[in-house]
Amino acid sequence: MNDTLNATQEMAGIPDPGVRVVIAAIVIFVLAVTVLLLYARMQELDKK
Amino acid sequence: MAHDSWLNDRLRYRTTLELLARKLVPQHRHSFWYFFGGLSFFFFVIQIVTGMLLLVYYSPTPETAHESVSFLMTQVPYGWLIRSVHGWSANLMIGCVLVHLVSTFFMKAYRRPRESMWVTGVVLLFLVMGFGFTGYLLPWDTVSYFATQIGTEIPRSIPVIGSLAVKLIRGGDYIAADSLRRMFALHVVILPLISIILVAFHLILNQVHGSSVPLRTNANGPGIPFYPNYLFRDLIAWTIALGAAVILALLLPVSLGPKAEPMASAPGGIRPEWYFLSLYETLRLLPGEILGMNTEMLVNVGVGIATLVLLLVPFLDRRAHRGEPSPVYTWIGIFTILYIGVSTTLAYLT
Repeated sequence: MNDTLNATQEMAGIPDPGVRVVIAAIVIFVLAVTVLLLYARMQELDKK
Repeated sequence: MAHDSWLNDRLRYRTTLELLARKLVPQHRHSFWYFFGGLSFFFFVIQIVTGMLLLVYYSPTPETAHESVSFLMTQVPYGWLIRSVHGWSANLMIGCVLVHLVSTFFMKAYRRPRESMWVTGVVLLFLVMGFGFTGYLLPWDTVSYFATQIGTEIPRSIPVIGSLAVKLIRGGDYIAADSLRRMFALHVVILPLISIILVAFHLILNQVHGSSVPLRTNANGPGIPFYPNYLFRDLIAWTIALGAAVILALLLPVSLGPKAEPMASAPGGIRPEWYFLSLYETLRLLPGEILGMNTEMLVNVGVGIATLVLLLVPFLDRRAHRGEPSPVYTWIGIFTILYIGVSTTLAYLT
């Protein structure tokens, strides 16, 4: 069933799960850094 | 700074920022629920942005719709991801609007003077569900075609206007080129325009009245300024929400089924989207006739009455209007949520 699902996704232009997991890891990293920066700025503003 | 002053002289944006800084967001043990209004707005913006990107390649005719989506997914760099984010963000937006409405209901935030905010919020909920329904047919694949065929059949049993309503939605007797054009026009022009006007009205009212503090809840001080303090909390929530939409789109991408064949028979196991499952299960479980009356007609009338009651809650709940607790409405809300939860789960399990 997984093979069929992968084949269908490939036909629909969706890359294989490995590539998608790598992109997901990069997205998580970038957004986590953004959240930390926003949180630091928020704390700074709250102290004022 | 010189350029800052130059810009302010022309745009007067500092006046807006001062106005936003004067708006205080109350802080108390239920403040967390305030985030869902902002999150609904954020997902709405994602929908507009990703929708515009999809619109560049989409072609709304039965001959080309499926091909254009297929081209977008296979030939356009990251086209599959944009479409997946659009699909997942739509579901998350509906979820956030529902949570926002439910939390507003239980905090009795609809009470005087925020009645118009409640009414616009309920209308916006139906509009976002309308977005889901009209967008479903656009890929023109087998499941979307037959699901829309079944979905648009439901209003037929409404007394007097049923058949006319079905014909109006479909643009004919069956789902065909005119139906696709109508769904497309509704999805990309009519519903967005109405929604943008209502969202603007809702936000202006929120600025005027401020956020409501639930009855019998002690706020910690006067609250924090919306700009910049609360805005940064919103920005953190929006960043996490963007992450959720992108991760879901990457790990569970929206696929594209085979092109619809209107002459073929409907495949088995077609179900509506999760937010229509409760209604679907209700229709499935009830017998065809109740007391000699058509069940679909009864359910349609029931949904109409329930919608009207939901819209009029601020005017019906007189105790909340006077600032007193109204446990009857709280219990009605609890039973409604339980019913929707149980019927939706049953629909998934069966």
